[in-house]
Amino acid sequence: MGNSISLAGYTFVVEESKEISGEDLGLLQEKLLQLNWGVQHPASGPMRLKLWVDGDEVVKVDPDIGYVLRLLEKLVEYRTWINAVVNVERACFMDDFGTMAGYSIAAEKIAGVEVPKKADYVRTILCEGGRIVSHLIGLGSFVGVMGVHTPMQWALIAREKFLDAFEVYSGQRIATASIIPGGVRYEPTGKFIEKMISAVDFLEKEFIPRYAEVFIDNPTLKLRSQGIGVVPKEKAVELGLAGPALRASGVASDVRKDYPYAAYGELDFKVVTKEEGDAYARYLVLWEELIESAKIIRQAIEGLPEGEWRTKFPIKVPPGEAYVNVEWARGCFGFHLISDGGTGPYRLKMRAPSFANVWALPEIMKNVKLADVPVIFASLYMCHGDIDR
Amino acid sequence: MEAKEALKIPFEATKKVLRVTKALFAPKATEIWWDKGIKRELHYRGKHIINAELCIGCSMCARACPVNCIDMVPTGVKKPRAVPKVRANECIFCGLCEDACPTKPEKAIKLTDHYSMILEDVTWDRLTEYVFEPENLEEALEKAKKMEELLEKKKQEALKKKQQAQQAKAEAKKEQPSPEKESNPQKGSKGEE
Repeated sequence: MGNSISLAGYTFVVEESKEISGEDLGLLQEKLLQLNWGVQHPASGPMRLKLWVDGDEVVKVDPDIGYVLRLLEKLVEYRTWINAVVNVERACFMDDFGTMAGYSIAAEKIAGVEVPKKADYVRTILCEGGRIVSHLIGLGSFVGVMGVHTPMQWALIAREKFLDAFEVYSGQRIATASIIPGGVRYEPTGKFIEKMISAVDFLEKEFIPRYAEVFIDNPTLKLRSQGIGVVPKEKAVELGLAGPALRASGVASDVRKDYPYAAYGELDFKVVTKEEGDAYARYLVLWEELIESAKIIRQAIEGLPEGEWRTKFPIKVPPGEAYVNVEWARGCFGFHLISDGGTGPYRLKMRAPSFANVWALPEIMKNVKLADVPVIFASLYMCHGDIDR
Repeated sequence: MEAKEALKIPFEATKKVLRVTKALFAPKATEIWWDKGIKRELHYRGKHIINAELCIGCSMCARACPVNCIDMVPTGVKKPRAVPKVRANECIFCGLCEDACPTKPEKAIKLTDHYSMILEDVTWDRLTEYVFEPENLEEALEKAKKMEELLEKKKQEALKKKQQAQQAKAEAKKEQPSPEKESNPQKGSKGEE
């Protein structure tokens, strides 16, 4: 193949078998090409989708993951109960608080330690801050894959305010290591609360009206994303979708509401759902959750109780196991933690939402146009650190 | 309708022009920070500072470190028996060593707001050599040695005192029988009487 496309670096493989996904393609099979969408693609991140393309139409998709595998689950086995959080939080750098909170709750369950109420509230504030930070990038990158990079910059400006607040609280902007078994590591000082409120103010008064004016209900955006990658309610449950992608199909599944942890049981918020189940609905779910999260932070700051923020966590934890689900930014994150009575975890299994979403791709991306592949991919709101762990 | 919209156009256009001109003369969003000596926040986790005078050599920081980048270097004195040395290349600045340090009220190992860690001619060897060591180690060692000498002196003094006391006792014991001997004859004399 001496044409210009092969010179550009794409590899085309003519399929040997005539049948693909149960259909006899007949003469078309000679046109069928394998396209590597990913690893170097600006929208893909560190993963690859093997796409079998017939002209402009995608016939078959095979996700190829494992490019950022860091063996986090194994590394946790070499840590003590407390310093294992530095591995757990690195599941994904965007919302590290959710994973740390889940691990800590699981460890506390085994050890039988009760956390002070103030720690619960601070965890709630931090988790929602992490969710906002993550959703902002999700919104920005969703419009970004269509070639408009302004919303990403706007989102990063709003995100910066939250990162400033995290720095005041814990000393680091991204890898905070601030939620540990037995509470939270630092006292929520007045300056942290002040910074958090100013960040939420900026989000609600500056970012949300300005962004809603241009990028929500945008006719061009709707043309590209409405009716694309539709997942009906029954199929979403069958595929095992998680998080905003599941809620956009009309399933009101939210661990914060169903099995409240931290201080979510005492706060008033609603679960955002959409009925359409297409890419645009998933985008809107992210958008409305952003507004909900800002409200939760305000409520939690108002109800912040006095008292201790950390209790003593034993060095050796009695044998036992616990399974804890938390509502992470990208969906339900499960932690199966086992203790054999030692100074550290015996085994930690993490059930990641993005990993569940990635295997729905072959079903969702059947018979779509090649140009819609990045739109569907970004709308499922996946994180690669979370897929590979 | 069309006429109305046409009327709106210059108004909208001037609005946009005003917005752009405003943005042109607005203060810059970015700033040069590295020569300003900006103080970071309360909990900022930067370069380590290790106080050898406060350190008790318990090696709790080395155990708490998730990446095992803290080595305990033996000092040769009894207290502290060893002091921490942080391999800066491997450190992830999580601050868990500071949490684990048991000295009160001031911690012996602390993460400061010192964030500029610049190495010139960076090679792998130089990076691996880049460590945070206790700053006042020699003074602390001298102090510790002096303290040990003092303690030894005190011990020796105490020993001497003990020995003296023992000698005195022994002497007293030696002396005691003589009055007994003196008394015995008295008793004997008494008995005789």
